[in-house]
Amino acid sequence: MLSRATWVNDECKAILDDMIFTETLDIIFQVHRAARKGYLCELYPEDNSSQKICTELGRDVFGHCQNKVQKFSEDIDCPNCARQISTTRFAPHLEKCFGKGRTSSRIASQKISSAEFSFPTHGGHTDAPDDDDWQEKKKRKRKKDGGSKKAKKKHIESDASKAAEHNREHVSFSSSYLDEKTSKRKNLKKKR
Amino acid sequence: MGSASCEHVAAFKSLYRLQPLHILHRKLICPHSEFFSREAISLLKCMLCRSRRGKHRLHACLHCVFIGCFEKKHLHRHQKATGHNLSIDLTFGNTHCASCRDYVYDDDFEKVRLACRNGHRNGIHQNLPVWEPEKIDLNFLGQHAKRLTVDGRSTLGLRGLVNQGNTCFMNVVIQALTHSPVLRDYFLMEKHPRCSPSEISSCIVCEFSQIFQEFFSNENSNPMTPYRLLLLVWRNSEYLAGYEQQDAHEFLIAVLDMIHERLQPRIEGGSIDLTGHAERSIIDQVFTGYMQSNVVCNQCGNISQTIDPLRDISLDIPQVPSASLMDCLSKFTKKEQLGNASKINCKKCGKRQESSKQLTISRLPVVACLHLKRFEQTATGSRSKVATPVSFPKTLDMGPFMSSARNTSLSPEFCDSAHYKYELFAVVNHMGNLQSGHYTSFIRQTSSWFRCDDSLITKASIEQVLNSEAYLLFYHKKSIRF
Repeated sequence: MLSRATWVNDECKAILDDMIFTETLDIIFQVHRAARKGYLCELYPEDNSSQKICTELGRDVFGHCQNKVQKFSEDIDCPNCARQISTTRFAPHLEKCFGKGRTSSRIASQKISSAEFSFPTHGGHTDAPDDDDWQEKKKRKRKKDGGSKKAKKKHIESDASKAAEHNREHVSFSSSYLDEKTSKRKNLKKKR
Repeated sequence: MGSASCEHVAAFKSLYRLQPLHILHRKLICPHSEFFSREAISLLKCMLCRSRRGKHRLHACLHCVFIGCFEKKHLHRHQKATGHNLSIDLTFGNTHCASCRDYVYDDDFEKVRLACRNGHRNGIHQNLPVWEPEKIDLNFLGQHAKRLTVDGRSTLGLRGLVNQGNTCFMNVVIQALTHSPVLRDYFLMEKHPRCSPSEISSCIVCEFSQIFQEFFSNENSNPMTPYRLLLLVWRNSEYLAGYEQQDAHEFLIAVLDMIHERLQPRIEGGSIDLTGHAERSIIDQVFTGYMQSNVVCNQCGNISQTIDPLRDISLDIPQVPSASLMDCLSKFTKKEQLGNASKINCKKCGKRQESSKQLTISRLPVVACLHLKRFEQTATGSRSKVATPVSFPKTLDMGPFMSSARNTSLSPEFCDSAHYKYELFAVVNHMGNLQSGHYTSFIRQTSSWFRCDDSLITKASIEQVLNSEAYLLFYHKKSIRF
């Protein structure tokens, strides 16, 4: 004579058994239907179009040369001012053209405080010293002029300013900027 | 592709049409009401052995009123005696032909079965039918033979990101998000309908949809530049604007918040619907967990409990020789004495008392983002980087840090540990110091790891990943196969 506990146990096992059986049969029927109707390959499709990963030394997963890929850039239209900008220089450009950020506001406040802004150049340019396009123009002009004495002088000056520019741009977390940033962040957090 | 049906079904149809089939489906297989369900239950047993077991596979004869089990051959006994050859499986509604000795799929029979089944599902709030394509679907698939799947061997889902000038902090966050479970599927299934042309330039969700397309459409293997996203974030968060290195963790939180805000349901006039009836945003569904804070009065033992949502866990790094992630989490969930200087007002005692505080996790998110606090501001106001190596596992058990684990009245077997197992899928690393640093990341697709260094994507090993310094760790619930 079966005790109640044993009977309950047996019934539970039977129910679980049935559930597992039914779930398995569900999948079997899906595959069977797919096989009979001819879409079995669509149930678990194999990739037939993607490129296989490249694991060669000196190349990235796409097979591109690593050096080339790291230098990759293209020109895009700035959504703010519509000028053509190189993608690797987009952030510094955006800072100026968008008007936010430290450099932009510093230039803006400097422009306001000094009526005429002079910088040792040729041609009396009054543009801001770290305007990219001006540097580009200077570079092109320098190349055109060739090896005259005057050109050499320009060459040295523009190189020096370029070096200063280069150093400034590659510094991250510079201390004075950092203090400003943390205080700005604190203010915003308070607002929240 | 031969016919999935047979001449016996055709013969039956010409004699009896579809009425017998309709009755069987509506009464026995997918009863649409409570009443029919109860009626069906009383009928669903083998007429010869009274068995009700699913394992015995009850079938109903299509030609007459007979129900018999398949496994014990009681159906076959009936069919031999009567010559009836068609029957319906009462669990799934599939048609069996005894003459063909196989299940057959007649188009008209299928229409009845699916209509009945889908109607039934809608009734009990299950609106996701199994994919059972018809001829029109199969023709379409035949005409479009290109198949793309994310596996560890193809480049699908991988894309380099151009550094726009100190924007590596943004690139690592994009890599982590494009490879996050559930979030990835949300975007690839285009769950966010595209905004109108006037709104699209200010919609961060549309922008991310576009980024997901760039990663998963396998069209371009050159690095892409997320310049529109940069502008969008700057427009939205003043403190993130500016050409200089930012903190990847701050950027992640800001972006998650922007996406969440954008997805908040709006009522007429554009203001946010605060009725709380709408479904949680995808960001909340994926990243938001809940943290429980218990403040216990040392005097009377009264517990004051608060539960707060959180989208990431920021962990202090204990200054021990070989610190591990478990050490960080243990420190985070340790009971802390608040001390004499920070007495808490106890409701029971009626005055300020010394208390202890303990944080635990009350509900885990689908994706757990763990932030190791490596950039600390010291008391003097200067900032420094904590470069202590912290070891972290491939599989993380969050069980010991749950609120339920701390509840000692629950015995161990009631804490279903399977729910608390998490799998690593992305790691963000910071190299260098505060003055000049660079972010890179590792991401996983199925079981393959890849190193993402702005525009350069290369294959990586799990050892490389586990040996990295780690700043942000992304784990997903193990039960989601990803």
